[in-house]
Amino acid sequence: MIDLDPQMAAALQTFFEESRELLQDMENALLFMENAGADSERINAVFRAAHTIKGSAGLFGLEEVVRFTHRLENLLDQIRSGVTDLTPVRITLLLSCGDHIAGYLDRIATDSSLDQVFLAEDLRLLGDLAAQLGSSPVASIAPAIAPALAPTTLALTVPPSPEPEFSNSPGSVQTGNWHISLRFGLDTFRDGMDPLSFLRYLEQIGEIIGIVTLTDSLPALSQMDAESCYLGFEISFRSSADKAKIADVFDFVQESSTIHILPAHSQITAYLQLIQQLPEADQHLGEILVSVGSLTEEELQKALTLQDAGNQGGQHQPLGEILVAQKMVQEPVVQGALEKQQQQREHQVVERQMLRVRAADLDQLVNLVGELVIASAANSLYAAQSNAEERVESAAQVARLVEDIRDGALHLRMIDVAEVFQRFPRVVRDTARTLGKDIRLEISGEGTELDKSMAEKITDPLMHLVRNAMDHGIESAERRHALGKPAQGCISLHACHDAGGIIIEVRDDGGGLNREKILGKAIEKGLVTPEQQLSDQEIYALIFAPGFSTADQVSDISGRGVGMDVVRQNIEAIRGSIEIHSTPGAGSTMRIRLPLTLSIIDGFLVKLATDTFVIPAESVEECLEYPEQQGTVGYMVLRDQALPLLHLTGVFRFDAQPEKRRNVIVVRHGQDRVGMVVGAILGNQQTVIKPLGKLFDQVPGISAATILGNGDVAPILDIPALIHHHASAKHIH
Amino acid sequence: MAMEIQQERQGANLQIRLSGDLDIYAAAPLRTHLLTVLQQHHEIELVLDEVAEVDGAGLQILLATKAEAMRLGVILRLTGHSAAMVRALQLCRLTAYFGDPVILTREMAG
Repeated sequence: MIDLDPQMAAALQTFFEESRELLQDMENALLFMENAGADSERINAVFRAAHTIKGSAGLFGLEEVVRFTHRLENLLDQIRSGVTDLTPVRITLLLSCGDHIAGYLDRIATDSSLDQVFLAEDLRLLGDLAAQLGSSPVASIAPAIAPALAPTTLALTVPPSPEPEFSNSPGSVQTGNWHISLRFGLDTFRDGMDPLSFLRYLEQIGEIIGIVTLTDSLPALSQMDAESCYLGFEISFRSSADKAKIADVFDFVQESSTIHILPAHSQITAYLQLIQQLPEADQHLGEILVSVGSLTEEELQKALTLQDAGNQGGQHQPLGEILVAQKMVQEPVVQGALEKQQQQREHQVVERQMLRVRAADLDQLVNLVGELVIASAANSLYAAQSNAEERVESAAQVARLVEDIRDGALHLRMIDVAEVFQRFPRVVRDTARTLGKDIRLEISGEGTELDKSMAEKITDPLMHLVRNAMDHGIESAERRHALGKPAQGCISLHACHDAGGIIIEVRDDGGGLNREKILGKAIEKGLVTPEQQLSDQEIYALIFAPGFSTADQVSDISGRGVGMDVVRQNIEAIRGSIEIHSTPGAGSTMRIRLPLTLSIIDGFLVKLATDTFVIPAESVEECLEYPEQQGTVGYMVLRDQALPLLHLTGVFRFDAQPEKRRNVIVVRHGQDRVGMVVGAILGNQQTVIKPLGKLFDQVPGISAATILGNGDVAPILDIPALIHHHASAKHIH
Repeated sequence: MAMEIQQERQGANLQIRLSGDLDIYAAAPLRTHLLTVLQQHHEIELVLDEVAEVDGAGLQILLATKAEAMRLGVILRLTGHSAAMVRALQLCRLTAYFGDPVILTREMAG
C-alpha cells in the first residue's frame, strides 16, 4: 500500500470502518428485501452505500475498489430506476459483490496482495454483473429531459444537472438544496422564542449553505419596539431531513410566523409563488434568492418573465392553475433531493451524536479506574484505622463515587448484543442454502449490552453453534413434514441479563440431541464407561469433548468433530460457561452464560500462610474443612467419591508450617474437579484484575493479580492451568 | 447575566462597552441608550468583548442601530467581538453587513 502520513492513515482507518458499516447496511437491506420484497427506500439505501464507498475509495486512490464498485453501482442504478427487477438471483449476486468489496477492504487494510482466487472471483462477479446489465437494455443515465411541454403551457427548461445520476424534472431549478423562507411574527420574542435558536437547530439537522438576514421590515431605531421581532431570513439549506422534519423545527412559531419550505429541485414556479407571497418587492426578493444560492440569475429571469407573461395575458392566472397545467408533481423531486443529500449527510449526522473513541484509550481509562478502586479501598481502610469520623465519612463518599465511576467506565465498553447478532441473518441464509433447508432466524433480546472485547470473542463460538444447530439440529423438510412440524425450521438467537451475567441462547426447533447416540459414541471413544451413571446434562456435555462427532456424514458445515470443544474453550477463555438443554423431537437450546465484564471478577479470597490468594468465585463449587485425621495426602473422599487434592503450599513451595485449620475449596473446570487445600477462607470480594508483567509469564498457576485494600498484592489463581497440571484430576465425574 | 453598559468619552469619540447578555431583557434599555448617544456623538465604538450571549432581539437592536447610524452619518464601529458575538454574526452571515473587522481567536475558529 502507498505510504501515508499519520493523518491520512487515520482517515483511511475511518474509511474502512465506515465502509464496513455501509456494507453491513447494504446486506441488511438486501436480506430484508429477499424476504419482504423490493422497496424503493431500501434499494436506495443499497445504492447509497455502494455510491459512498465508491466515492470515498476514489479519495484514497483505491482504483480497484472504485472500478468494481462502479460496475456494481451501474446495476443498482438500473434496479433503482426500475429498468431491472430485483430478482433473488440478483440479490445473491449483490450480496456476493458486497462480500467482495469487503474482501478488497480487508486485503488493503492488511496490506496483502490480491491472490489468484480473489482475482478469479473478481472476474466472475464482473462477468455476472455484465450479464445482468446486458440482459436488459442499457438505460441512459443522463436525465431524460422532456423535449417540450405542451404548447399551451409555458415551456421552461433548464440545462441538465451536471450530475447525471440525479435527474431533474423539467422546469425545476438546479440547486439540490432546500429553500426556507422565514418571517418571524412580531410577538416571537414575547412568546419566549429566539429566531437564532431556530437557525442553530437547523444547523444540527443539515447545513446552512446561504442565508440572508432581512432587515426590510425593521423600523428605524426610534420607531421600533425593542421587544417586537422584525427579523426574516432566506435560507438555502442542505439536509437529508425530510420536509416534515424541517417543518417540525418551526413547530412553535408556525402559527405566528410566515414559513415557506421549498424542497430541492422545486419548480421555478414554486419560487415564483414564494416571491409573490412574500411581502418584499419581487425583484429585491428574487435577488436575495439568487444571493443565498437557491436560484441562479437565469432562473430568476425566467421566473419573472413567466410572471409578466401571466399578467399580460389579461387574466391573472392563479399559480395553482399554472402548476396543474404544467402537471408538476413534487414527489419525485423531493425523492431525488433526499437521495442526493442523504449519502453525504448521513454519516456526519451520526457522528454528531456518537463519538468515536480509540479502544486503547478506553482500556487505559478502565485500567486507571481499576487503580482508583484499589486506591479508594486503601483510603477507606486507613480512614477506618484513624478512627476519625469525618475521614471515614468522606472516604465512604469517595468510595461510593468511585464505584459509580467504575460502573460508568465499564459501561462505556459495552455494546449492544445486536451488533453481535447482526451478521447472523446472512450466515443463516447462506448456510440454509448450502444445506438445502428452509430455515428462518429469529433474533430477540437486542438492547442487552456486553463488554466489547467479549462481544468480539463470542462471535465465532456463536457462529459455530448456529451452523451446528442448522446442520444437525434442524431436520430435512421431508422429515419435518412427516413429524407434523412446519416445513420451515427456526433458529433463534436470544440474549438477556441474568444475575450479574449475560445469557446468550441459540435455540433450534429441530430433533433435539440424540442421547443414546451420544452415549454410544462416547463409550466407543472411551470417554465414558458403560457402567457410569450419567445425567442427561452430563451426556449432552460430552459433545464438547475433543474430536467428538455423532454426524454420520461429514458435511461442509459441520460434522468433523472439531469445533464443539473449541467452542467450549473459547467460551471458557472469557470466563463463560455453556450448557445444553434438549427435548427430543422439539429442539435444543445452547445456553451460554457470560460474565458482565472481563476486568472485574467476583474473587474468593483465601489465605496461604501469610499471603492472600484469589480464586475466581465462579469456579468454586463448595468449601469443606480439611480432614486432618484422614491420613492420605493426595485425595479425600467426598460423598463416596475420590476427590484429588492439590496442596497449594506445595504448588507454590511455601516452607511455612502446616496451618492449624486447613480448608478444602472444591473447584471445577469443565468436567474436572479438584480440591484445593488452603489455609483460612476470607470470603468474597469484587476484584479488579491486573495483568501481570512478562516477568511472571513463566509462573504456573497464576493468571493475574489484584491489589487488596491494604495495598497487598494478591495473585489470582489460574484454575484451568492448575487442574490441567494435576494429572490425576482428569476425567473425574 | 443582565447587561451592563459602561461608557467612556475619548475626545469626540464615545466608547461603549456592553457586557453580559445582549438579549431580549437588555434590548429596550439598550435601544433607548443608543438612540440618545447616536444624537450626541459623531463616532461611536461599541466594544463587544464581554458579550456573553446574543439572541435575536439583541442582534436586531444592533441592526437597527447600524441603520440609524448610517442615516445620521455617525461612524459606528463594533470592536472586540466576543465568541458569542462572532457566532451570532456568522450564524446570520451579518459580519459583512456591519463591515467591522472581526478578530477570530483560535478558540472561535475551532
